[in-house]
Amino acid sequence: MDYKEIIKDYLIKNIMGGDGIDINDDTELILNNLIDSLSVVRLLVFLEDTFDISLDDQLDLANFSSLNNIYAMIQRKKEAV
Amino acid sequence: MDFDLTKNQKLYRDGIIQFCKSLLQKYDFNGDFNRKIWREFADFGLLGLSIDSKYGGLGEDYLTSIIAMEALGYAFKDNGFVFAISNHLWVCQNLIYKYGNENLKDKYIKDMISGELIGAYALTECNAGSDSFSIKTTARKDNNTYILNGSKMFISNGPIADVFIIIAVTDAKSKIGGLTAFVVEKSFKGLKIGNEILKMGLHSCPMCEIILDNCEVPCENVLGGVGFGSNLINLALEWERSFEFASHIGVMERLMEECIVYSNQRVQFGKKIKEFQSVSNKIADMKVSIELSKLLLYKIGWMKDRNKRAFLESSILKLFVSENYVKTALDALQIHGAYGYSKEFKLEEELRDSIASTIYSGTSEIQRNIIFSMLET
Repeated sequence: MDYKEIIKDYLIKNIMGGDGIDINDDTELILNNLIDSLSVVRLLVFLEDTFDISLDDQLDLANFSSLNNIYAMIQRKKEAV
Repeated sequence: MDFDLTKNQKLYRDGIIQFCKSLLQKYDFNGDFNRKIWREFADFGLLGLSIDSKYGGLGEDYLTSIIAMEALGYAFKDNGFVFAISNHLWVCQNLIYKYGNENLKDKYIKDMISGELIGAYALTECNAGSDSFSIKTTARKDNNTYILNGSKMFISNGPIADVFIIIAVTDAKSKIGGLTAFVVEKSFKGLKIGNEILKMGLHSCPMCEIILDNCEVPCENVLGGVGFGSNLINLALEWERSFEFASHIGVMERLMEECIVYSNQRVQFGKKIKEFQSVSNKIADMKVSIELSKLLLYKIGWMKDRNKRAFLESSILKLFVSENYVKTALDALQIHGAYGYSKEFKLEEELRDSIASTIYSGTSEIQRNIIFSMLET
């Protein structure tokens, strides 16, 4: 599984409740109420643990607003390491 | 893993205990907040322990700060005052230090360390506690300022604070992206301090309502960016639930020691009461909860020094410490019998102070909800 698939899988299974739900790369997660405040924290913990990075300097919510933006943030951090 | 404290950490711990003892002899304590004592702690360096020397701090790591807070709770027998310091440090000063821009840090941190400015955190409203998305306070942009309207409830340090971090709605349509944090000075036009709210304990940490009536806040006082409020709330909770509760572990240790002393002195039926298992078991339980609390607390300090997220760990710590803090205070009172119930021994005060810990920073019920939600079930 590539990074984006790993993130998508976590979002669907652990944040959005699992089967029957799908999102595309640009689905607005925040505006569509698909993730709440606590979910952002859970996602943050998951991303930092899974990709072994710190996202302290990436906490702007825009970075969590879609799968593409989350993926782009991870890419930026991985490339910076 | 290294469980030994460093020489430096031991020096801080012992130094704070000695300093607190000297303050307890120097001042009278009547439940009122005393700004002179605040300045004494500032001069001692406690208010800048984990802040970089660039801003006037001592630049120590977070684990050292945690040990310092634990020593403070242990030695300074005014739990309200310790709570006022904790609020100032962890949900105001530290948030500006960690998430503020250079301009905000230059403007406030130095004076917060020197004791010139006292900080408070204003999230809660009449109908918005842990449900922070029910916040009604609004912030409307008007050229170079934001105009804040609404009111904040149960604000610890409210009557004594000079600087507030206030969370308001900047975009009602944007869900969690619609909250923004502002650094607001008491002197800003439109900020009013409400009457003090009387409560059952923690008297020297006064609490009140804050009213924002067309309060004008310069745009440069936005903390962490527009829309960052939701994230800031969660980050603040993490600091609050771990670092503020370090002092409670110190209080638990003090209460346990008082029980050991008393149970060695008090004789009933011809023997010291510590020889009754119903007494000694209570003290043993205190020790168990103190040691387990410390293990998790120090782990969180270690995690924060490595920039790791401790959201789950801080909720577990908050829940465990607060419930055992209340139990320890209740058992200490029970061990002291009628003396414990009397005002003179101040154990009833300790119990009243402890009860707040299961309520602020999210109730025990909320912590259990969070802990379960963080599990991948």
